[in-house]
Amino acid sequence: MEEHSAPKSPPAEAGEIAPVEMASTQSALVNWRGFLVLLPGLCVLVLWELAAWQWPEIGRLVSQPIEIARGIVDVVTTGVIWQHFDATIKEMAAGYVIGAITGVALGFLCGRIKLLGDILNPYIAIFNGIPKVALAPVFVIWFGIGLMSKIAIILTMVFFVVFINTFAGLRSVNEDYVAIVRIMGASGWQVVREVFLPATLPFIMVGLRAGIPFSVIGAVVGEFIASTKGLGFFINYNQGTYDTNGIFVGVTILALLVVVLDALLSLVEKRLLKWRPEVEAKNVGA
Amino acid sequence: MDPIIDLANVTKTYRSKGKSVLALKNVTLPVEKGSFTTIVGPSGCGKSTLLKIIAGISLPYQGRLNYKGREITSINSDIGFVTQDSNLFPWLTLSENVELALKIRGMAKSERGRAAQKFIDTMQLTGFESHYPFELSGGMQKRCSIIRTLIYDPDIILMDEPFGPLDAQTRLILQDELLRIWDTNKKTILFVTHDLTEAIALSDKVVLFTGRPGTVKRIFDVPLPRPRNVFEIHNEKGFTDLYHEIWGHFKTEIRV
Repeated sequence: MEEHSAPKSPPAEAGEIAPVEMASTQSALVNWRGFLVLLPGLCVLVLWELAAWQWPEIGRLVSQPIEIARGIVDVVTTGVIWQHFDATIKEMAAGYVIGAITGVALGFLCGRIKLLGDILNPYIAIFNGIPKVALAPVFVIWFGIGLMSKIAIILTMVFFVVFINTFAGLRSVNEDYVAIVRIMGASGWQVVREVFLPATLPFIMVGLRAGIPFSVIGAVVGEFIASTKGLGFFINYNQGTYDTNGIFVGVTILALLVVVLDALLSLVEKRLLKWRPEVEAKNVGA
Repeated sequence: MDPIIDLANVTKTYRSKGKSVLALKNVTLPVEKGSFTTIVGPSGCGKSTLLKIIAGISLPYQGRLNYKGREITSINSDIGFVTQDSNLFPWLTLSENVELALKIRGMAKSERGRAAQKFIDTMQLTGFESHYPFELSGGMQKRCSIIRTLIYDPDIILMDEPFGPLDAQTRLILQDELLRIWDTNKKTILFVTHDLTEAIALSDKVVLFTGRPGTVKRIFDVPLPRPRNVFEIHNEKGFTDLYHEIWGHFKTEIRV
C-alpha cells in the first residue's frame, strides 16, 4: 500500500500533542454501561409483572409485561396486525419523506436568500406556534379518512421541525468558510456543495431525527380521528372494547417502531458525521 | 517594475448599528512582486479590512486599488488568503482540506492527491492525512491551513495574523517554515500582525498603520540579511535599532 498508511509519531514540537483515542479501556466500559442502562428497565418490568400477579386490578388497568409480549406474538403470528402496521408505515413514509424534502429545500432557500428568510420567518413562527395536532380534523375534512389526510398531518409536523433546523443551520454557517472557497475560485453551486451542505448537515440530521416521533404522532392522531386501519385505529378499537392489553400491544409496537427507525437514522448520522468529535443531541424548535 | 498590488487613497466605510464607521482612510501602499510586506498597527486599525478589500470580499471601497494593473471589483481568485483562525473545514480530512482548492479548480483526484502529499510531507504532517481537524493540534491545523493556500500557487498570499493564537515556540517554528517556503518560491506575501518582532523578522518592509481610521503612518525598510534565523533574530546586527525606531512611532498610536 502507500507508504503513509501507518501513522507515524507527530513531529517533535514543543507544546503540540495530537489527541489519542483510548479505545481499549472504553470497550470494557461500554459493556458495564450497557448493563447499567438496562437495569432500571428490567427492574420496572419485573416489579410491574409481580404487582399484576399480586393485585389483579392493576393488571386490568395497565396490563402486564408477559401478557403484552404474548399479545404481540399473537397479533404477529395470526397476521392481524399487518394491515394496520402496513397502513401506518405507508402514511409515515410518505408524510415523512415529503415533509423532510420540502423542509430541507425551503430551509435552504430561506437560509440563503436573506430577504426571503426575513419575509417568511414571522409567518413560519406563527404557523409553527399552532399545535399541528389541532389541524388534524381539518385535514380529515379536506382529504377524507384515507391515506391522504394522515400524510398531510405528518408532513406538516415533519416539515416544521426539519425546516427550522435547516434554517438555523444555514444561518450559522461560518462566513469565513464561504470567503475561503470563493477566493479559491468556487462557483455558486460549488459553495453550496463544499460549504453549505456539509456545514448544515448536522442540523438537518437533528431535524430528521426529531421528525420520526412526530411522524408517529401524526399518524396515530390522524387514525384516532377517522380511519379504517392503522396502528392508531388498532389502539382506538381496543379502547372501544376495553381491551387494555390490546392498547398496550399497539403502544409497544409503536414505541419499538420509533426506536428502530431512530437507531437506523442514528447509524446513518454516525457515518455522515464521523468528522465530529462527538455527535450531541440538539433540538431546535417544534 | 510596476507593483503587483497598488493602493492609492483607498478609503473604506461600513455601516455598523446604523452608524457609518470609517475603517480606512486614504491608504496608499504599493506592494512589489515577490516582496514580503508586513502591516503592523494597533488593534482595530483596519489591517484585516485592508486584506479583505484586496481579496475582493469586502467591496465596495473608495479610491484606487489595482492588481496587476487592473481594478479589483470582485473576488480575486489569484490570491491566497490565510485567516487568523485556521478555519479548516471540520468535515474534511487533513488531505481533503489541502486538496480542496484543486478540487474546486477541477483537477483529477489522483493528481491532486499527489500534489497534496508533497506539501503534507514538507510541512511534516505525514501520517495524519486521514485525520479530521479536531484530531489535530493547533500548530498542525495552522500548517494545514497554510498549505491548502500554497497548493493552488496563488500570486499573492494574504496572511491575517496567522500565528496569533499559537504558543511562542510553535510560532517561531512556523515563522521559520514560512520563511523557508518563501525563500524557495518567492511569492508575494502581505502579512498582518500586531507583533513587531515577528514583523521585522519576516519582512522586507514594515508598514506602520495609525489607529482607526487606519492609514499608513510610515514605511520602514528592513535591511537585515537573508536567509534569516527567526530564533536568533534579536542578536542580528541592526535589529534592536530598527525595533526601537519603529516602536517609537508605534507607541504613540496605542497611547501607552
